[in-house]
Amino acid sequence: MRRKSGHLVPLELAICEAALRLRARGEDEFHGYELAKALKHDADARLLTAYGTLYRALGRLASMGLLTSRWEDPRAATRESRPPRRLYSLTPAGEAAAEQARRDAHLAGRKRRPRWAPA
Amino acid sequence: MNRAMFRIVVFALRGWTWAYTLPLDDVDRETRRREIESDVWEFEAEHGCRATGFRAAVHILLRAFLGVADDLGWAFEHMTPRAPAVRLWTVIRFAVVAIGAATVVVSASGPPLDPARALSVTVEGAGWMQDSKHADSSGAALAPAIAFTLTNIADRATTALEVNAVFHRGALGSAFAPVVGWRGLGPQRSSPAVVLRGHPLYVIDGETARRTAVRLDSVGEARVRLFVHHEGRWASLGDFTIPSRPMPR
Repeated sequence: MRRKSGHLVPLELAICEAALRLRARGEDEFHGYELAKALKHDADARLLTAYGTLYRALGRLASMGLLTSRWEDPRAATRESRPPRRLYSLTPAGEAAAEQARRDAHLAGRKRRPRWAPA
Repeated sequence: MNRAMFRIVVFALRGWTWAYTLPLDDVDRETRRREIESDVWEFEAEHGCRATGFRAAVHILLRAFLGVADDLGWAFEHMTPRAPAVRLWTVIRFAVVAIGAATVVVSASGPPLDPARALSVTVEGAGWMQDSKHADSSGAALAPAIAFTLTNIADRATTALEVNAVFHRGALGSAFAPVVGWRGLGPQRSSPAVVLRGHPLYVIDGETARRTAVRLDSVGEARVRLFVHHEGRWASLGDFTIPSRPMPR
């Protein structure tokens, strides 16, 4: 999808909004699979977001400064006998972008609403 | 088979990730490979045994396939100018082979096997067995029995199988328990012979109101319906006759 300058594509917006919801549940940091599940739930989809699409979008958001990421302590992963997770978190800029997107979507919805006119 | 298919699809995904990250610098390459590895692990861990089924394999394959364009786009964005062109061609060739192989594996595996069609029953013997455990003054009780083998006539292996039988004579029925099972049957392979036996049969004497064992000359025919349990559901394998004769040894 071709992007307008300064605008986020729908998947990036969905990621920021899902991150906000995860934060509201007390999960400040999330890994890719967790986010894929949240996106699937939000969109009521049958399939998790494709690997390439999801991780490319996460990379773009990180390069825009809307997300930060870090690899978790390898000792935590070793303790649970699993590969280490890359943990992402929403930056204040990401939070602002998500809020702005939510307001824009609300306004767009209001503009589209049919109005009564005098007969 | 489903587990093997799942492993092949995950192997194909790893191979594809390995291929498209090949021309990238060490940091980008390792980051993406570890991230995919973690994602697959979390998927498997969350779904437990179901994660290795047919649907899970298709799910992973679709997630990989639908993301190919983004994988390549991302790889081009991160490719260093010094990356030799030959590596790019390696990536593209590998992509075609990996996607093709995984698609062939999934499509060849097809939908779940229908055990009623895949399994052929060969009756080795059927009749009435004397049950000395339930003997009374009128003699040993008779119980209907059937011996049979199952042959997998499909072109792929089944998963674990359990068989059970319901014997009935007239309106009376009796279920056999416990079930007998195997880990699965390969294509064109037969199970060992199985003998399933119903409950002993009695009649109530009209005059004395006592329960007495049925004699072989008056037992008549009975029927048995065989069932097989495969991948979470029971299916009927058909009805068979239990003739009024002793069970052959």
